[in-house]
Amino acid sequence: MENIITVKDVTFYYPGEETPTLKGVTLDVHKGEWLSIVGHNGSGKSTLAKMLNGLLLPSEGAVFVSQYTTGLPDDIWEVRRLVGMVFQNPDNQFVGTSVQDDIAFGLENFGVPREEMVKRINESVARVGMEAFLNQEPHQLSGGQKQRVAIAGILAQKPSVIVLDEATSMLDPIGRIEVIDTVRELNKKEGITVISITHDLEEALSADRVVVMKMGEKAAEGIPEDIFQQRDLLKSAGLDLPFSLKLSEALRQQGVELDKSYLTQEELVNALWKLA
Amino acid sequence: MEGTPFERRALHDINLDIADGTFLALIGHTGSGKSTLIQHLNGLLKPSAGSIKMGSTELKAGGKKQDLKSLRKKAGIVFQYPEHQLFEETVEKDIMFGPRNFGVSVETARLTAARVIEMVGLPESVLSKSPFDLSGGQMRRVAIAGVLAMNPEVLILDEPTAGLDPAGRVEIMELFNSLHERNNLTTILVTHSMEDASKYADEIAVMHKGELYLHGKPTDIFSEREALKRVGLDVPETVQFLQKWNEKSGLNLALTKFTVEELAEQVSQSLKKRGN
Repeated sequence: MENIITVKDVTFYYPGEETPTLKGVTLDVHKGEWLSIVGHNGSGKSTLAKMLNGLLLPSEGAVFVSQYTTGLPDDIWEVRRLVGMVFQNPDNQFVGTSVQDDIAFGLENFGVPREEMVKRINESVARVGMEAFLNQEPHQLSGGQKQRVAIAGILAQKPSVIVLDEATSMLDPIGRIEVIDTVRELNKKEGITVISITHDLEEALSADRVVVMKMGEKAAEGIPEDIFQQRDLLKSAGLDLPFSLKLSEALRQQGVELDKSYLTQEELVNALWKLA
Repeated sequence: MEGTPFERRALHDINLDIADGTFLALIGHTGSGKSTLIQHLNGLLKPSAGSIKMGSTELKAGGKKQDLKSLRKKAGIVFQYPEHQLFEETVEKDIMFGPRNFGVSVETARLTAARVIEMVGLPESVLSKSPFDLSGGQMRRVAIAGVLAMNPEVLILDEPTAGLDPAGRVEIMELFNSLHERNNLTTILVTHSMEDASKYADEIAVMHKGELYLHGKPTDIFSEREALKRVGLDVPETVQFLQKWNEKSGLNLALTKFTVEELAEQVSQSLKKRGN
C-alpha cells in the first residue's frame, strides 16, 4: 500500500522541557485511509498531529509527506499545502470577515491568481455544502458550519491529507455529525486521506485503522476490531471502552456465555438471540 | 439588545420549578437557550419579562441591582473551560478573590481556600503554587474550588467536562456528584451527554429554540424517544440497546438506573427465564 506520510523515529522535546513529549514514534499513513489517533490528555497525540504538517519539527527523526520532508525549508510550503489541519476551537480558525474572504486568505498566501481563486472558492464551499453562506460573517455561523468553512479553506488548496485535531470536541452532537459526514464524504468519494485525533471512540470504531498513543509513545496500531478487543491496553492508555464492549463484558460477568466481545449493538443483540 | 434591529428572543415563556436538592440536567443544542437560561439563574442576565425566584430572593423584569448580588452569591456557575479564568499569582489568592470581593476578611478567605481545595481533591501544598504551573485537570479543579469558596447553595455547571479525556471526564463528574450529595447542593448540569444525564440527574429538562421542550424524570424523558429525535437528541445507549433487545425478544423490559450493569442484569435474567 502506498504511504502518503511516513513518521520515522520521531522524538520531540518542547523548548526547555527535559522529558520528551514524543519518544521514538514511527508510523505510516496509507494513502486514502481514515486513521484515528486516540490517547489520554498529554499522551502526545496533538503534538504528533502538529508534526504531520511541519507546525512542529522533530528534535530527532524525520517526517516525510509524499516526496517532501517537513524539516527542509524548501519543502515546508508544499507540505503545508498537502496536509491541511482543522483545530479544536471553531472560533480560532476564522481569519476573514466573510466565508469567501476566509477561504481567499489561504489562497492569497499561496499566490493563487484571482480568477483561479474565485473558481476554487466556489468549488470548495460547494464540496462542504456551504455555498449558500458565501457572504455570511463568522458570528452568524454555528460551530459545525465554522469547521466546515475551515475544511473548505483547506480543500481550496487541493490537499492530499486532512488532519482533524479534536476538531469536533467543542461541537454539539449535531455539529459533530455535520463535520464527520462532510469529511467522510471527502474520504470515500475523493480519496482524501483523513487523520483524526479524537476522544470519540464511536468515531474511532468506524476508522480504517487506529493508533493508540500513551505517554508519548505509540502503544498500539491496528484495525478497530483488534484494537478495541484489547481492554487492558485501552484502560492503561486512559481510554474508555466502547459501549457494546462494556456491555459484552458485563454480560459475561452475569454468566452469559458470549464467545467474544462485540463492537456494535446489532452484532451483540444477534449473538444474544442465538443464546436464547 | 432591546429596541435595536438585533433584538431576538432567546428565551420564551419558560416555567421551570427546581426543588431544593435536585440534580437537574439541562440538555439542548447550541442556540437552544440553555446558556441564556443559566445566566438568568445567577443574575448575569435579567429577564425581559417574568421573574426568577431562588429561595427568598426574587429577580423580576426591571428589578433592582441589589437583588442581583444576593442571587450571584447563592448560585455559583462553573463556566466552560473554567481554567481560562484563573489569573492570580498563586492558587490561594485566586480562590480568595471571590470571597474577598464579597467582603470576607483575609483570614476567613484563607481558611476557606484551604477547605475548598480539599473538597476538589487537591493537596494543600497546591495553594502556594502558581495556577499556571498545574496540569490542565488540576487547573480545572482550582477553578471549581474558586466557585465553591462562595458557598453556593446552587451549583450551575456549564458543560464542565468539555475538552477532557474519558478518564478526566469521569473524575470530574464523580467529583460533582459527591459535592452534590455531601453538601446538599442543588445542581444544574448543562450537558450534551445523555449518558451523563442518565447517570447523575434526578430530573432532565430539554430546551429547544428557547422553549422548555420536555421536563421530567429520566424514565419519563427516555420514553419519548421520537420527541427527542425530532430535536436531534437520542436516548442513552443503554436504553437504545434494551429497545433493540425488547424488539427481538418480544419482552417489555425497562431500566431505572440506566447503567451498563443494570442492563446486563436485565438481559441475562431474561435469557435465563427463556432457558427454563
